Amino acid sequence: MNDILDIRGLELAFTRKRPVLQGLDLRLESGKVTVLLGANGAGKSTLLRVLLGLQRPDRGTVRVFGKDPLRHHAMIAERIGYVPDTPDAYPMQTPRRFFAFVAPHYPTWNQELCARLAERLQVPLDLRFSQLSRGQGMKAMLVAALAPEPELLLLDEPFAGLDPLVREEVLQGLITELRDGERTVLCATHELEIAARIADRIAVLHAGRIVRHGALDEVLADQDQPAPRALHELLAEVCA
Amino acid sequence: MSLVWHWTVKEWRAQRLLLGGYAAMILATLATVLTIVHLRGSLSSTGGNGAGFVLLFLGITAVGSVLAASATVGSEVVGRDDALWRRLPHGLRAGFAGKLVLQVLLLPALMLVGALAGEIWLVAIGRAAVAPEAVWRELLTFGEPFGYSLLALPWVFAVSFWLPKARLALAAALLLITALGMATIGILKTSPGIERGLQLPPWLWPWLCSSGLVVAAVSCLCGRRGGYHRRSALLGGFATILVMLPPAGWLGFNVYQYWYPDLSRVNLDAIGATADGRFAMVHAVSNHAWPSVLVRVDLRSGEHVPLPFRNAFVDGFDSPLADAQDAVRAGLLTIRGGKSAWLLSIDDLQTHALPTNNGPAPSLPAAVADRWQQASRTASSLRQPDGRAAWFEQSTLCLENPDGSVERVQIPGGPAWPVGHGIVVCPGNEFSGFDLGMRQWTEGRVNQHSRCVASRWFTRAVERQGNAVIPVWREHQVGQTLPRELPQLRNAECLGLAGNAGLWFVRGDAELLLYEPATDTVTTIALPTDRHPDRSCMVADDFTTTSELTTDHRGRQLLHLHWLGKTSTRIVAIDHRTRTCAVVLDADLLTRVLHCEPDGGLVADEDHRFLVRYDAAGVRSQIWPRAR
Repeated sequence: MNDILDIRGLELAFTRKRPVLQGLDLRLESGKVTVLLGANGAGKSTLLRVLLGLQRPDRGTVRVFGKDPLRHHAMIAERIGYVPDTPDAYPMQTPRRFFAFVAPHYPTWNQELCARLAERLQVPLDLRFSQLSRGQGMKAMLVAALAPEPELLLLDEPFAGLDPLVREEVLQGLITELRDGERTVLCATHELEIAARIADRIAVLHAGRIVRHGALDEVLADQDQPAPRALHELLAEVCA
Repeated sequence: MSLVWHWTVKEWRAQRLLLGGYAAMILATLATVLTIVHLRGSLSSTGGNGAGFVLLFLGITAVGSVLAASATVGSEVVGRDDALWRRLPHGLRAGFAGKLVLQVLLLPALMLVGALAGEIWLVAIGRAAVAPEAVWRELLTFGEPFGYSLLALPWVFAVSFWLPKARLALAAALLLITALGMATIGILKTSPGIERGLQLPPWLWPWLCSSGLVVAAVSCLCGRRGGYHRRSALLGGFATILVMLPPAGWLGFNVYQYWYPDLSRVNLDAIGATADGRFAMVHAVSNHAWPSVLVRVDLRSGEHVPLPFRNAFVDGFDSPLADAQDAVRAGLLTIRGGKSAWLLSIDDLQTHALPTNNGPAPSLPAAVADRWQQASRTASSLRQPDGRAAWFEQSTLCLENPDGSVERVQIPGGPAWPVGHGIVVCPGNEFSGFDLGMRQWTEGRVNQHSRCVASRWFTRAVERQGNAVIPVWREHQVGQTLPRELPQLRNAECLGLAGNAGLWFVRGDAELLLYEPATDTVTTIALPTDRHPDRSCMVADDFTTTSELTTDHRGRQLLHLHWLGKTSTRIVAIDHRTRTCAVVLDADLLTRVLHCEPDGGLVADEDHRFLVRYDAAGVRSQIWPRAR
């Protein structure tokens, strides 16, 4: 099996009294969409930041495409697309300038795809990020993440805080794009509905660990594994 | 490179409004203040050709580049941190280089803008514009402080990575620089006066400047990889310690040299040698701006012992007429430092606290006190006409009687000079002479150049002929108001006593004169100054302040002959009994005899670098520093 992502014994704490990840193990298979489910503050964003080399783990090993994201950052980052939970582009830049700025960093940047996605998602190209709504900004970030045609796409709560119309728009755009390519996706969210719509597999993050990991129905069927009762009920509800 | 330029352009777009605003504010404020001062008329006498004002505009505007250093780092923070440039492939490296390139380009650009603003202001107030060459010359004149202030630029850049959103980076950088400066001052304080002798190595300023960039690179490229400002501060702080090691090492080396100079490579100033020729005391100087180290040198073995006295000066006894050289000859030395004083016994290096004006009076051990008293007698350069001892005990002149008893004469305070068989004192503005033979104060006019021989006083005066000053000598005779002219000593300078009944004089470059007052005769002896007939010869010795010249093992008095422009020394022995002058030694370097040995050898200070011995045949051997 070709593992794009292999995490073993990952531990990370921001303070001694506040451990976030406690011995997390996770492996992602190539070409699958995995939804990382967890409550707010469970450590989903932190895990994605570790994968991007933005956060240094205290213990454990992290391998993305078989390499350490801290030591081989550029090599790995070129193959990853990332959508943060809030747009992190420079406020004075317009999406057009932002795409032009980000493009030279990626050897696989597809300008045609970028233009097509921007058009499809109706990204206002000539307004500054400081003038864009959150939804518009997130759409621009999604375009910037997909334009390099990454092998691994990391999505950090991309739909949180969006109004229903925009959210549907973004979700449809994402689903269409995922359908087109053989792409591995790890999408962190606490929204079960999204999980149900896009996930091939589900990983449940609780108390700093992956407590369940598998296909959606497998996860629900496995009643012996510990999981918060509320989450279990929600999962059942979604599957029904 | 294209990616770096890409980031540079992005930074410029991000910072141009901010920098433009800052520059406009700075220039407007400066122009307003200077205009107000100008209108009040305070600038009319300053400023010269106006280049100084242009330089002022230029320099203050250039400070804007320092603001850009922190702004470029702070602007990376969007939302909760600076994730974008850290997650983009090669983002950190290219971003860092781009920010650096922007600062490098901004500096001359801002200077140019400042200079232009200065020129415009000059024209606006009705003065002529300044040529660029004049501004450039002004910049070179004041370039040093300007260059120092630019040192802060890379450090502000480095510190910007240590703070969230690079807030207060300028203040923090100044704090860091101040802390480093305080640490340096703290180190310098441990060694008083060390800064006067420090020669800054040429690499220091470039190092301090470039090391700021190194720290900035570590803080960014290593600190920001997998971390934020805390990790940058941690690694940057560690890098700061590392890059400060060479300057700290240089400073530490100098402090070590200050306290423990390499005694094989010092300049020395010999104080004197003990009467038995066993030891010499020298001031060893590794740097002329630093306090010397007092060292005892064993003249037999060449071994030395540095003594733990810094910032101290050495002295003879409590006598104006027995200096440190006399004291060393007697085996003792007074060392004064601050409010303390010690008596050093040279042979066993025992020290004893001495009473001072400010502190309690410690009592010397009886044996030491007795030895000091005896030594103060023997070390005195004074002597009575019949050879009996005369010495000072504080302000009391002590004269030994033929029966061994001591007569004490109170001497008024103030400077005092030994003048043969007498002393001259100057308690106020009036000179007085005391005749050791007659034991009475003199009548008539005396000064510090006077000489007393067997109760006869000879005083030096000067005659002016055009621009020339010619020394003349007169004898003051008891009972006569007018002095007697001594034409045979015209244009001669006195060297000192010749035995107990004569005086040595030197005239011109080559004439040694022996004057015998009893017969009023002058014997002329040719000085052997033939080696360099084209050069003027100088006769030098310590005799102008002491009564006796150094004498060799045969009782002859030694003179040192130097030639202007030459480093060589000729030492000659003059003998008043045979009326002869013989060359004892020709040395290639500046040489001063410290001690004459019984076998005819000489111990000398050579070129203020070596203590050497010449044996009776003139063969030189180096005593100290010993060859490695």
